[in-house]
Amino acid sequence: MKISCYLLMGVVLLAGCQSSGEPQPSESCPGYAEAGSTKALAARKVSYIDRPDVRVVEMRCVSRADLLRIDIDLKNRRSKEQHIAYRFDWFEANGMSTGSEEAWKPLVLYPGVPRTIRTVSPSTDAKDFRLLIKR
Amino acid sequence: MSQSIRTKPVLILLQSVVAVRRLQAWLGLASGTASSTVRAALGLVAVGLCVSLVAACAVFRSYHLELGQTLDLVSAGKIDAAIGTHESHAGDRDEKDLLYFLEKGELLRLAGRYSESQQAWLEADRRVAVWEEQARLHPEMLLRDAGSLLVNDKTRAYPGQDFEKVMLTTRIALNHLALGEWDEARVAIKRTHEREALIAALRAKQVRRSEQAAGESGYTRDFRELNGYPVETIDSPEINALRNSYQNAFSHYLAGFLYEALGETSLASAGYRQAIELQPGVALLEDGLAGLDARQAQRRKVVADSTVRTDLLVVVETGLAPARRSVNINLPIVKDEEVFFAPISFPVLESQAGPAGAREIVVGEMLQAEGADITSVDLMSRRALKDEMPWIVLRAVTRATVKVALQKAASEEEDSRTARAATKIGSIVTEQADERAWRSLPAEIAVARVRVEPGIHDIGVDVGGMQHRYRVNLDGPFAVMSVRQIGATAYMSISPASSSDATLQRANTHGDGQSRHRLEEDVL
Amino acid sequence: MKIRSIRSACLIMVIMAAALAGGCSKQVRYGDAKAVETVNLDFGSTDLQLIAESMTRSLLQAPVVANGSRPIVTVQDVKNKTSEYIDTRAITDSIRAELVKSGRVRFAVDEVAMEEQISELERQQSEYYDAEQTAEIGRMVGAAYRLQGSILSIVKQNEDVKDVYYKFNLQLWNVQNGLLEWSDEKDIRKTES
Repeated sequence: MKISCYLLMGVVLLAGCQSSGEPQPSESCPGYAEAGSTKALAARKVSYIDRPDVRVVEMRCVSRADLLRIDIDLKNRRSKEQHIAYRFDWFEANGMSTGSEEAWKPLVLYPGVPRTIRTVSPSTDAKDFRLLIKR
Repeated sequence: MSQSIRTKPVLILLQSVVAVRRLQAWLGLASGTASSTVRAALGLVAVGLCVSLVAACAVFRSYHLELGQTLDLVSAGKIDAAIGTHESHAGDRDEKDLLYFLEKGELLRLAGRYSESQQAWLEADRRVAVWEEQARLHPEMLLRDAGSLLVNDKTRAYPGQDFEKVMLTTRIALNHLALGEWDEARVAIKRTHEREALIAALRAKQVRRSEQAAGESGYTRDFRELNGYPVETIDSPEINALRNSYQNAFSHYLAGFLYEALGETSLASAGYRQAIELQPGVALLEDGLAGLDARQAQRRKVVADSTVRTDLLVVVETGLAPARRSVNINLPIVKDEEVFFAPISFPVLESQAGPAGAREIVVGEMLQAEGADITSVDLMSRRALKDEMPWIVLRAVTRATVKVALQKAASEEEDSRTARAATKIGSIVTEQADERAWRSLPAEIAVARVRVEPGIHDIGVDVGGMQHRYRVNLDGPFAVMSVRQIGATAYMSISPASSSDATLQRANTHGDGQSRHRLEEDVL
Repeated sequence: MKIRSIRSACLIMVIMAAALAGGCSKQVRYGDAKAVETVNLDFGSTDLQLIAESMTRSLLQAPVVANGSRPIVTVQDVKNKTSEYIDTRAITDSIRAELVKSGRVRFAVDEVAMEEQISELERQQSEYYDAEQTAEIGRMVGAAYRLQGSILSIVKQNEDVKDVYYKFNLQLWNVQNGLLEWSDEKDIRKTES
């Protein structure tokens, strides 16, 4: 919680230096406006399978060349190494799923260190996403 | 051999007896707590013993002699008679086993009856597949079944050696090539390396388990201590230089060639690379990998050009896989502070290799290439026996212990005459090591690769001073020709030319050798 | 005591028979085709999928693709520098399929499919075809870019641990001027102990 507060503060401070009018990377994620906060957005966008002991602490999205680039920071809540797998599902603006099913990607989380998973949408149609995290 | 080594076997065997005793003590403890189970078990085993003894009578014919007759006919060029003999030997057996189909497939291949050969080998392959499945589910089975702890290795259904299983699919691929079925050959060759990987995984598991077991029992198994065993037949630098008993460079080189022919460069390079790793320092193998990209590039240039030269792989196979023979060695067994000698049989390998000397490929009048020896089934077979030897020794000691115990029991209990008789028969009849092996496999495999213009060629294959000449029609970018010399006879097969049915195979014989082959009329 | 040794051997037999009889019922089920596969260290489905996905997503962001010009690309060999039988064409086929679906890249016929392409073109030149709708010879489009790459592995093992490291490298070359327009790598480490 503390880290996310600091992160948010940092983001806010950095944002102050930026030219006005540009939305924050976290605010650019689809559905942010309705959710209102990263935590609420993560609750909508992220599903956990088999209860992995990890939490999403930050989500950043940016649209570049019609593709959605996403960074998601994960935090291992255990005091030892954790092996998880994740994948994204993609949706068009109208909510239809798009792209072929992604492979589960294995990931090692070290204790206490946040880890960023990065992805980019598979096509220009994909405007929204869902993240699945499995133990 | 020094005197100190000669006295060591007794010591070692004493150690092993102690180990077996320890095991017995442990089992005795177990029987105290679950005596009814043990009684039931004993009953079962008694039945098992009787069945084995009865079965033994049917099985205990000399495989060595039987197959020897068949192979004599093969080396005399009487292949049809050889097939007949093989059938007649198998005829009165209820169940035709893996070995029967392995040998049958090879004989039919030599006769040029590739489709029938395929049927036999696919039947063998089904049996190996069953073994694979069982081995995957029950790796403990690989620690050699307990069945022959008591009686004899021969009462087991022939499980096949690892290298024979790998060779089987390789030879199925060769048959497909002789039939011009390149895509089917790809399936067989893919199965070859998949099977090899499975065997590697299983054996790794087995080695770990046996090391554990050895660590627990404190039992040292070393066949080198067996007094009277020809240790040098399975213990030499060449044998030890092999990475294991089942991987061979030929299978991988053939895989490389086949994948290259099908334009699958990434798989071809793996095949060539593995062949090099298994048989380092052979220029032919190294050229296979180093020249792969250049050859592919050249072929691309002439993709629409029909005058592409034919890349001909010549496989020269000689001799026969070594035969296993049973020898008896007296094992000293200590029982109640007395030393008993139990005659126990061990398998010994007898070489059936072909002539040594260069294998030369002559196209027209010009010497084109020299064959490179890349795989020796002879060495692989020796290595397989060497790797198996610790288990054979362990079983031998167990059997010897049981025999001594039975004999002692019989001699002490005067009234149990039947028991005595039975044990005597047991010790005489049941002692014969497993002589079974896929004997019609070649002893040595050499390959050569030549690039020739398409068309009709006289190709000569000189093996250790004997010359065999064939007239063949080559077209298309790739062809595989295989020549097998057994005794004074050579058998040839070649992948058919794709464009025509005018496949000409005509043989002339030079020197003492006779050549046998698929003879088709010259249609030109 | 005399039958101790027999008994022990018998027990071994029975134990082994029991071991063989037990656990024979194996079940077959359909699984998740995209699940993480860790049966052994060999190159497997997960590795293939990870590489293909990572390369596709990266390539979509390459400037020559992202500018929306729908470049024409041909797929060349991915060299297998491992000693494993890896069919790298399976990887490039996956990459190509994903890229085509993205709608941002077009593919010209590659060397492997060339023979079939030519034979079909030639077949259409017969009198049986409607000349109006026949594909003309000499109208095939050459690729502006070519994809090539390599996969290598480093395998290390001792008695307890086996470690495999795969590195997959893919490059997009400009055919006309020979410039490297994009390149990316994916590495995978697997350990068995």
